Amino acid sequence: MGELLILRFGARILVPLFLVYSLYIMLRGHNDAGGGFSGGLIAATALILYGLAYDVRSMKNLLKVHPVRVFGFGLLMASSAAVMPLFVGSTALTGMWIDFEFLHTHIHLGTPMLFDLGVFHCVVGGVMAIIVTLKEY
Amino acid sequence: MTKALLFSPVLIPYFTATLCFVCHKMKRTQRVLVVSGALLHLAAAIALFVQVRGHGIIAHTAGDWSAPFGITLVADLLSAIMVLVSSIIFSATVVYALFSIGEEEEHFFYYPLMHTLILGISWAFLTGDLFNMYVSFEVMLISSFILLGLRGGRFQMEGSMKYFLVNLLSSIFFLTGLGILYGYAGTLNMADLSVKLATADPRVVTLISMIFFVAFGIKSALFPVFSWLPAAYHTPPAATSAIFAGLLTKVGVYALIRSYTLIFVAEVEFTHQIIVVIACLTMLTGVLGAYSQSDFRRILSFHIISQIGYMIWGLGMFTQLALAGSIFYLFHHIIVKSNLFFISGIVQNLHGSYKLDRLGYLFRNKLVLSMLFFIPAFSLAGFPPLSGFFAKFLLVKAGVDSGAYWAVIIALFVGLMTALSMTKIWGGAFLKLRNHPVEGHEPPGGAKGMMVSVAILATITVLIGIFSGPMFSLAYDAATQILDRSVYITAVLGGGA
Repeated sequence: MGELLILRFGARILVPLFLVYSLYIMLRGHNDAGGGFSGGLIAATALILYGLAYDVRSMKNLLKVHPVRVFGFGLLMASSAAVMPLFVGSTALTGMWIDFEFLHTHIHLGTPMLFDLGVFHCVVGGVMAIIVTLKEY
Repeated sequence: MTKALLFSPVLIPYFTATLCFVCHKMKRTQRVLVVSGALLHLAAAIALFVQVRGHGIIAHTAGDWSAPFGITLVADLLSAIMVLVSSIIFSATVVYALFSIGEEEEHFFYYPLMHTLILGISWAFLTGDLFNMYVSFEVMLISSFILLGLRGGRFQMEGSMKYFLVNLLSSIFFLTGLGILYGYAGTLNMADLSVKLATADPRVVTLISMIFFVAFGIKSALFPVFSWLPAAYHTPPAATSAIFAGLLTKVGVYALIRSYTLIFVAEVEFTHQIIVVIACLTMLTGVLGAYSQSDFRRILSFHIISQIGYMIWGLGMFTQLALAGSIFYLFHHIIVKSNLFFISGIVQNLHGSYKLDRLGYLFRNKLVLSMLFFIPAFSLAGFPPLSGFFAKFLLVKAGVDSGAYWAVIIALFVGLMTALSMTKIWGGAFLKLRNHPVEGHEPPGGAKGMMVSVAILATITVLIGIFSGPMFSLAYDAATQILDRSVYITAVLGGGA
């Protein structure tokens, strides 16, 4: 275990950094390069790094719920972005936006972000499910 | 209101599958979910059908974009019929699966995958955009591949590898065709394509159409490229093979009918003549293959191929009556064929084998099951009061009208051979009074529950036979609608086009 010391120390610094960066990539995806998919991959990379430094079990514990469930929630979130407009009489996937002031900042929130957040969860859940399954066999 | 109606056959299975993923450890909740999801899908399909039958074509574009730019969903009568029939089969399959699927398959996402499969199928029927059709084909391919290989023993893996590779080839052709078509016409919206290609060079259109013919031909198991079907369909559990047999190839047939009535109509006398020849060869090889087999499900698999030939023949003749015949044949065939696979599953459940030489005595011991087999089997063979007779009659009538007597002779010969090979199953599994039973086979139970789906589908078959008049006028209206392209184009692109 001694030889993992550097990796573990590195992981402790890098994992939070990766996770914050993945959120940043996801959020800027609407107007710039990035988005739910690449953000999700970065977050998954962080978790995998943690899994390499420690073990898969503690990686799973870090996630708290079963990867398939994360995947399911992601699909649910993305699809709710598709369905919501149907209730106000638009067709599916029409963008809906709300604007408000929060701490003197103008915030522009919409269903595309919900969709991206769903994709983010799908990717994290999907990659985690693959890694966990591969490790189990 | 019509917006929600149009999107619901796609969204309902999506949500059901998603919820199944979320609670994949809770077996009981999952079962409640899948059954209610399937019934909701059925309700949505019925509502959509009633709406389209009453008020004509519905078309909406996702995201409130205008038509050729956004992703269009269109429900005309043909699409609505197909969605309705596939939804009936889907509900029957889910009920059947509850009684016949093992714990292990259930653990490996059997039910959510069934829902993603029907999601792909409904989407393929409803989309008004060729690229989306490609995506829905991929959704179907992925779900069906996992369903085929689930719990995969070597035997089952072999079948699913063949299935996957050949269908991947079809996807490559499809995608290539899409690329070329987009480069040429600058659009993949089907209504828009129909407008743009009407003024294009017919030789180029015919060339492109042949790439699509190969792609859809592989999907629907036409003559030279059918070998993946009998290699794969007899390997998975009966519930899986029933929904595959009923629906997967028919999506290919639907794609052929849609594209060769709406888009690729530049040189009808050339392209549709090819379709007629391929159709006759498909009928012949399928039925000869069926006659040479001695396994319950392999006989049925080869029958799918020969029946696909009939449907494509109707498309090839390209008259109103012939297309009506094709559509009639489609919905008759889907119900009958899935039912026969259901019955093969019950027989296997009771006697532990699909091999005809191991079976026997069924007529003496299982009278109800035998009667339930008799209806779809002899409907498929085209015996008079049942639905298959009317379907074949329409096509033959159209064939005589079009003057292609050689094709009519082939079709009648194939009908005779179909009847013969059906009597082979009837005699081999039901009437015969000797067998080599599988040693130590204990029926795992559930056969009674499985019979529910069989009985419902058999009733529908009988009803189609009895109400063949209204059914025919329905098919005829659908054929009229797909032949009159301007209605479809106006519904999608608006009055200006």
